[in-house]
Amino acid sequence: MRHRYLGKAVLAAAVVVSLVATGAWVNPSAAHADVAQPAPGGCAGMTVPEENHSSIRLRVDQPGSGAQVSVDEQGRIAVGGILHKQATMVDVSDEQVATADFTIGPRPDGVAAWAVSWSTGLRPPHLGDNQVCVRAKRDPKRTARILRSFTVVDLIPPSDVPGLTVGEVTSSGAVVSWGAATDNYGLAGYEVSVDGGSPHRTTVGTRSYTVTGLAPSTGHTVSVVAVDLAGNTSKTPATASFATAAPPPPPNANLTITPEEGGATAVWQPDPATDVSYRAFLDGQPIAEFPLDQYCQDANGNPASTCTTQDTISFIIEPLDEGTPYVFRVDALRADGTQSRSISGSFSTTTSASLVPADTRQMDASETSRCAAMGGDFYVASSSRAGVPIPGGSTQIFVGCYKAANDGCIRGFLPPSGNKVINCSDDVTTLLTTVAPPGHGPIISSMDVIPSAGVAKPAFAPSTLIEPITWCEEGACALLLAPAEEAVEVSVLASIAAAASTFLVVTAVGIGIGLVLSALLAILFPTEIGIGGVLEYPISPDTDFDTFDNWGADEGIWYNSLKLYAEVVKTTKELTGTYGLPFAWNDQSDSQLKVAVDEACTAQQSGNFPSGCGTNFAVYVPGGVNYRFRPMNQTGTHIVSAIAGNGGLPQPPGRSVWYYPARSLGGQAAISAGFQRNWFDSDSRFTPNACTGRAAGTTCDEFPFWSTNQAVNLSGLVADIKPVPTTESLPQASDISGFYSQCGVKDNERFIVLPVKPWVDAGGPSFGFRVSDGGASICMAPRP
Amino acid sequence: MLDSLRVLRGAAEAYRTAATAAGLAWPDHAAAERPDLGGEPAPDLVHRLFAVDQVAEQLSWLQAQGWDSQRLFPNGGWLLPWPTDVGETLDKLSFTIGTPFPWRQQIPLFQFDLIVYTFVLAGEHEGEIWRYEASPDAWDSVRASTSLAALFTQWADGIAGGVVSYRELDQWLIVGAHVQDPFQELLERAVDLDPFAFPVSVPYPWWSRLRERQRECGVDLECIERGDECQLELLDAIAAARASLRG
Repeated sequence: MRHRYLGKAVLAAAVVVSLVATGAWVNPSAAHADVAQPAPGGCAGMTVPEENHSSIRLRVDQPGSGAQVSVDEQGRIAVGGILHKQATMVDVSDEQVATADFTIGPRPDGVAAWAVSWSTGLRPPHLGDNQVCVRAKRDPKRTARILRSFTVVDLIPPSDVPGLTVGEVTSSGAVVSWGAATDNYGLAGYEVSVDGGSPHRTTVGTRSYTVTGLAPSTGHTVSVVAVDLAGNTSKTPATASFATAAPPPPPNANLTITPEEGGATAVWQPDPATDVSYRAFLDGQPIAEFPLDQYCQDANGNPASTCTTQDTISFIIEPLDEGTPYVFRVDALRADGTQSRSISGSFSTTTSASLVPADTRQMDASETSRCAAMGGDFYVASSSRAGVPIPGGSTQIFVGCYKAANDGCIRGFLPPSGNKVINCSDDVTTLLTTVAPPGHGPIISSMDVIPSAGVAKPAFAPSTLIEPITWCEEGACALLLAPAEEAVEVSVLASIAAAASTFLVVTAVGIGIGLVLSALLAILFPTEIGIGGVLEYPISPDTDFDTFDNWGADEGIWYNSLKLYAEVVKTTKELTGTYGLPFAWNDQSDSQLKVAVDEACTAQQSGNFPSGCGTNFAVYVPGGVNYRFRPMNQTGTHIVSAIAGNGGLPQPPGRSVWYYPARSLGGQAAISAGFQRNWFDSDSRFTPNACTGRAAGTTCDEFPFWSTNQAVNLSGLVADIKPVPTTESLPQASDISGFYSQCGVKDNERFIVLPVKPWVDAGGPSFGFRVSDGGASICMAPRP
Repeated sequence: MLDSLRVLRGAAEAYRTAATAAGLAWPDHAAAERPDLGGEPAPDLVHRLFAVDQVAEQLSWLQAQGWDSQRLFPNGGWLLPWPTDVGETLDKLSFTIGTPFPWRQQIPLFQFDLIVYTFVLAGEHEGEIWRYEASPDAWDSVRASTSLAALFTQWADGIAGGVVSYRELDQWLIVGAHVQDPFQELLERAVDLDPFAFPVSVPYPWWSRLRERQRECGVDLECIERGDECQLELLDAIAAARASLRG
């Protein structure tokens, strides 16, 4: 289980970081021949700090050589000087930051008449040691370049933390939340202290903290400060006081509650002399009513034939949120409906144990951001410091954060672009090779357990080996060196920490750098690990499908998957143009579509992920409006979330079969299995649930659809239900009706439901198409 | 059939009494019949939407009772207020195929999640209650009741006969609680009642019974047979009506 979880985490992170992918996919077979080199900067090749032409007379007055420069309120530094008035400025650059926006002013006092002043400003890519390259020219073909070294500091602290509140107070803790602070250069996160104790760090995107371990009925003060990338903290801590709740009442002698992650089991003694039925309440709300014998068990845990005082009532309370306190009460009712007794108790559900404590993940992410922003090359997690040999000559910027004496090669590839293999020799890459096992990088080592034959879904075996990932903050990057599982979990924080993480894989032949881990593995190990699927295919929404000729690559197993992908992209583009929809494909939505196609085709083939699609099947793509442009935003969103969470991978994984249901005319499959149409209201096995007691004007929406062979729990998992506005239920039903009829989906015929979250979000209409031997063609075309 | 107001008031009050006796909480503001509000005319939009000159006073009376927007009817059904949105209202008619009266001559009156009951506004079927389930293949257009008063009476009798009961869990009146097939329960346990008056799905084993009832009600069975094709024609007609009303 643990291994599978990590695999998901890595894949999810790979999808997340692909947001910033800018380069092209690299064909695995050509990867080794395509070894990249650092790109030259504007001052590349200079052997002296200044190459000036006498007719230009470029001069840089600010910053001075070796000076310490503070960033201003906007996080910028000023750069300026003079040059000959017949010359023009070209640009000023600091690593990847460049500007050509100059103010040319009058001749400064004390300067000869040939001169004019120039000035500009830029946001340095990081604090610490910087170099700007200043260039000017004068026709014909005369140039000047000056390379100026200086140190950037940030002396302005972040703003105070606003809006500190304390909520969800329990007898042992509380949840602290606060608003966003601001900073002139950038925030690294927040530090939370309870009663003046050691601070707990969060990332910049995490503005809440759960305090635990406090004594009941005690007073406490919590304070929060913002920390910027230079390590400055806000001047005045935000503080709030609270008192923990009284200890929960001692458990009723007649009631025991055993909490778990997502539920609890309540057990009590029946009194058959008076108890005829029970009414159960959770936090004061009724959740179930059932007769005495429904949950009555004998001493062996088997259903009791006749409920006696020797037996127990065992009632399962679910679903519940993890780590949440609840009060459970049960009223015993006599035959006339009056209450004979009432018992109650408090409990808190447990939380799933995380491989890596949240405090550790947050600290790693925040400190790596800070290390990147202060010009560091790598940050070593505290848990790895004993095993990482710091290269000689390195400078410690703060504890765990170092700048290597020689980082010239790998820096040229950061921030990362595309997937590539680099052939570097500097202190940082030597370090990476040193911490990797012989012949392998940590990730590759963990993946050696995968059978090499065929197409297999990567399954990660976590280890304590050092895992390098890159972490970039506003274009400045540092490597995080942490144990494999810690690094993987930290990388998942990338999106909320406003950072981009990239995988580095160290091997005997070089260092692979890339945004999509599986693509990287394919480059480095084209024959040892099976990687495939549309996710890794050289096709994108920008592809000209009319001229694209790579449909049959990889022995053609992806042909139908590619047709499916292309049809979705083409149709959405056409509809977007025709109806002026606010929709455009980007890297993230492209990745999500590719994952959906691979998942759907795998479900169709009942195979290992990813499998290519077969042929002759219909595809339903739900929209934010139905195919007649009537509203179904919440039902469309529900379909997407039920299958693919927030547009990513099915969660739980078993839901992947929901991509490929079969039509069941009149709900025969469910009816034959003993379910009635409004099972979510009527069947005590599934009540209470998210739809119980819903307000007038809302309808219970279910997915998989009732009219399929996966209705209710026929897929092995209970259908996802959610109250939606009733105004959407008829348009959604018309959509399914239209799809079945116009796409010719017969009784018992299987079809693909393809969730495309951004299409629903954009209010695009549903559509349907068929994939056949001849290609793909629309069968349910939207029309108002 | 249009009831006399006196008959309708009596039937509605009998239903309210039966429902509250069963345990349903009736809202205070609607606890008693309010004959003083009986004259509230239908909004102009109703006339334009359904292309009728007059709207029966029985409807106006019902809408004045303050019973809308709460789940006061079997299986959590609620009374739909006067229409305010052209698109939403016409959407509710998108499964009304094969009716023996023009599709637009009926106003959605009760909603039971996926089942809509309408009130026929004109013609020889005026006053009848028809029902439609939003289902991709049921095509169950059928008369639920000959009149509004008859519908309330059926529901009150259902409560009295025990096939409709109150459930504490969601505080609704439920048809055929704890049985697998409520339609069959109605057929077998409540022989004096009309099962089509109750807002339960007609499961496919009973479709022959449904077709028989549709034939009796004058439903165009050829249209029912064509099902999705006929609905496509209806959706086009609805789209045209929507466009004309907005134009």
